Amino acid sequence: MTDPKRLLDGGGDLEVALLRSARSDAPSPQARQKALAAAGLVVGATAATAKAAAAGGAAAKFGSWAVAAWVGIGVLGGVAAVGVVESVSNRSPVANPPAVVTVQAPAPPKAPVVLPETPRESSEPAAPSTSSAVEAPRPVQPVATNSSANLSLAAEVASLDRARKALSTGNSSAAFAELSDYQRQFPRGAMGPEATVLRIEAMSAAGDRSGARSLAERFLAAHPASPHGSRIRSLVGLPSIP
Amino acid sequence: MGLIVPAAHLGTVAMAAPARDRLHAMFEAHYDFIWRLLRRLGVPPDAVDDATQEVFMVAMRRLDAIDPNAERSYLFGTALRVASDRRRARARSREVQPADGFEASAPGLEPDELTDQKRARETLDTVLDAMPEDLRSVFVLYELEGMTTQEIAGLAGIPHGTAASRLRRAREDFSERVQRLRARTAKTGGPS
Repeated sequence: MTDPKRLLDGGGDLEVALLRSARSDAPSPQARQKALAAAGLVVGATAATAKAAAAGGAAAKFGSWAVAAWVGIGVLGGVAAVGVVESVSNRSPVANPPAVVTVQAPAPPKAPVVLPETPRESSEPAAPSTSSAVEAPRPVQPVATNSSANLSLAAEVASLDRARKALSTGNSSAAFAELSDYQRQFPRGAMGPEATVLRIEAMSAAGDRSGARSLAERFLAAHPASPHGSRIRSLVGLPSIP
Repeated sequence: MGLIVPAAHLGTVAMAAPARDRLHAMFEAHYDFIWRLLRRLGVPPDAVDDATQEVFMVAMRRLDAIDPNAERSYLFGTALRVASDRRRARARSREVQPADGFEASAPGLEPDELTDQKRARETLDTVLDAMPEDLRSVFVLYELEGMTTQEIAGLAGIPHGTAASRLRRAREDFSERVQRLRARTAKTGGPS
């Protein structure tokens, strides 16, 4: 039994216009955060906020709630080890996401994804890359100062929020493009594990379940104790570890 | 935005770490999906945050009884009930709508207006509101969430054939209502 062609792909103009109007349906990060708080799931919020605050006030320019939300996830999972930065050699095929979002997501990029072992602190000197992947030219990293680190963290959060938003509206292409941008701008960013989780989610959403599972297995093999483990296993249907 | 009930009042403070982790993972994995679903099942924009929270609060209280492999299905079923309750409450608080739901919300609709995003979204709400609930949910999952009928069957706990049948009827129902809307629009003076 085959499923019919979706109306967004083959319906009348009015049908398509109406269905497209739902593409902007997405919860606000504030609502999500409030719901988490109501469920008592932001125990680490204080620490997270403190961490973000220690990173500086620049984050507030991008929305302190966003920083708290993202960092809070890490703290909740007991983030002591930072995790993995995903490294993507190529951009998504959709360099410029289409203005019109369709629910039928396109195939995800087939670019190889490598997972460097551990991200450097932004203040660490750059080491020669050992990645065998063909990587896009990396922008020159400015000398790390408190201010630049603050801006970098806030920019990372903002970038991943854009990817998450794209994903939540079913626009996997835009999510992939944003994640590739993230990787180019922050090849050793502090939010690398979160980016990997989002990429796995985007691959699943785009129908590339085997790719998502493969990436998930590589991540988990490299970082068996990652606080994102349960989430990743849940995303790709791997059995949870008791 | 309604009242956000602090966790302390719900007995979550003593939640064990594994349960917290599980609930957190459920939030991460399904919050956006449930939010969109409730919105598209007729919960008004200003109530959907609270309704989503309600769904997860129900799940939190029943966490031990939820099969770890069926969390999404559980949340889906809960969302259907919450959306239905919210719709009924809203219906009781306002005047009865016309049978096809259009006149009250889209009188004299100009064709150009339909392409306006906000207007289109409101119109979509009106069309979906007029659909039978069982057809609407399958329609939303297939046309807006991009799920397959097989996935819908698994999520809703219904046979695949039933999901496919409901989808066929839902698409017919939706198209008929849109055609009526188009006809009414043309009658008000605009080109169809």
